[in-house]
Amino acid sequence: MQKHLNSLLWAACFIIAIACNPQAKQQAGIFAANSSIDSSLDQQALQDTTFINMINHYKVGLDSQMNQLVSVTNEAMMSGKPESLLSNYIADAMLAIGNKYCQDNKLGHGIDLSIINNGGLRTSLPKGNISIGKLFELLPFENKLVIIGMKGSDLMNVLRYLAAKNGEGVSGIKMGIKDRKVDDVKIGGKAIDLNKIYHLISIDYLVNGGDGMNSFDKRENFRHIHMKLREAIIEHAKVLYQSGVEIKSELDGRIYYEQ
Amino acid sequence: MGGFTMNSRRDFFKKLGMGGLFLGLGAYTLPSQAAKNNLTKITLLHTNDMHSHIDPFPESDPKHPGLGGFARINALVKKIRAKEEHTLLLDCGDIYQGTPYFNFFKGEAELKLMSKIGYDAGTIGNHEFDNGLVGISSQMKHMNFPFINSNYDFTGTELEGKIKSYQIFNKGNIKIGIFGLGVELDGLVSSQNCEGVVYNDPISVAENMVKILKEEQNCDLVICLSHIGYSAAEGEVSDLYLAKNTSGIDVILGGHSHTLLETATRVSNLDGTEVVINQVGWAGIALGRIDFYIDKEEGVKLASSTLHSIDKRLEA
Repeated sequence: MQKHLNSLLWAACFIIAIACNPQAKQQAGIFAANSSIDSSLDQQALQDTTFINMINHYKVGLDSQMNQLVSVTNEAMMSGKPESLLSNYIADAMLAIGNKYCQDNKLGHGIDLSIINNGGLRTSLPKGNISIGKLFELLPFENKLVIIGMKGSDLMNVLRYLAAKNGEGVSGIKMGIKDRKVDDVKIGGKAIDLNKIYHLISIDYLVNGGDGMNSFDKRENFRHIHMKLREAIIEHAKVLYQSGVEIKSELDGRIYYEQ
Repeated sequence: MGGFTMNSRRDFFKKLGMGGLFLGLGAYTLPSQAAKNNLTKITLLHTNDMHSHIDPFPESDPKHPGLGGFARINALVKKIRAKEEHTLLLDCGDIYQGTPYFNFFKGEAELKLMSKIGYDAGTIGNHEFDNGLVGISSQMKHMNFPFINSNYDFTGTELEGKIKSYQIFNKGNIKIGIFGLGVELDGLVSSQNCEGVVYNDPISVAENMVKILKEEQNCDLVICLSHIGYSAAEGEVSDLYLAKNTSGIDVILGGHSHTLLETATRVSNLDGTEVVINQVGWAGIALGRIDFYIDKEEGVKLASSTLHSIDKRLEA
């Protein structure tokens, strides 16, 4: 106790010196642990066989399904703004999935753009093998894909919201963001036509107002395609991998910040 | 673990034999004689946004290589508890959703394992509602610790009477009051998943909780388990805003924003008293620790914070 008290008094003397730094620096992923290291935690963790057995009760059966290979990435992918490898990959895949659905069902139109929120992408993809389990971690929610038709002028409200959030995952469009406001929107390479009906693919959660997205209300049509986003992405990636195409993505300036 | 760095401030405190930052009213004039007789140490351990990450991240993960794991947290907590007499282990919400464990077992695995680790209490995050109110109530049989929330009114719903608005723990001669605050559900949780739940303003609820816990129950330490997020736009509620705009809360353990604080933040409240705020990332990549040294007679409260990385090494 005496040792603690000495430490307390020492700390009291220095409290003024450190009082000027109240907010700790935040770093994604990398951080310092401020205590000493004296042995292996894993060794000690494994000694508690009751606990390990409790985990294994759930883990063993799950792993046999979840460890199945879906595809391979040639680089690690993370989400981020205004665009990112991960959000571009998912949005591009959604656009392809939507277009295939339109073709298969002879809808007479394709998909002009896709929208997915970064908040819905829950982990990063490592370089290398991508398992079903990893895609569950990336897309854990049971959200379903939907296609909606919107007039260009109403779609602008959605794009304004994306700009206010400094960008989300998109495909099929290119837009600038200036002071959180949308600028210079191109869809399919052409300037947006405010009177044209555009078809977009997104998830039911967002279209129903989730994540603060309340701009999807004014729509011309709405279609459930009866696929969960996760299931559709797994299938899409698996089919491509079987034909020799790995998971890949690139940054192409689809959403960019203007000075 | 090439990503780890040390800074000189921490090295300095390590040399003192105590990791972390000391905070608290009375720190400048600690009366050593009184403190010597009556100082009680309370160790608060905390996690947030576990998101079903029972297994560690793989070494190939670009953001959190090799970090996390319930088995490691279990071992670390046991080690700390063997050393510290008065320990509380607390969680700040979003236990659910993020790995197949949740998709397939609906929370059973997380809650059973957290009960085994020895959690004393937790609060409700927005993702606890992902399978609706029944997704919470049906899984509560797997937990042996209470869910505490003070600002959701569950009257007339599946969860009525099942969530505690506060709980009091006695550790040594110290009475600890814990209440919980949840985030606004509208726009975050689909309406059918939280039907009938009324969200009340965290600030006025916190004031009322302090009144109950401090004035009526005479708690020596008041803890808020928060899932409202660390910071927000000007004037919007957050842990920082809550700390500045109330009085009587000693520590806010937070979640929702996945904020990783190397050391706890200290903020002056309405009375000018310091409030300690902490949050430790997500997915069990770290265990937060606040050690309080309390002398009831002299009204002395000192706090030191430590961040325990959940990796292969054993700390503490």
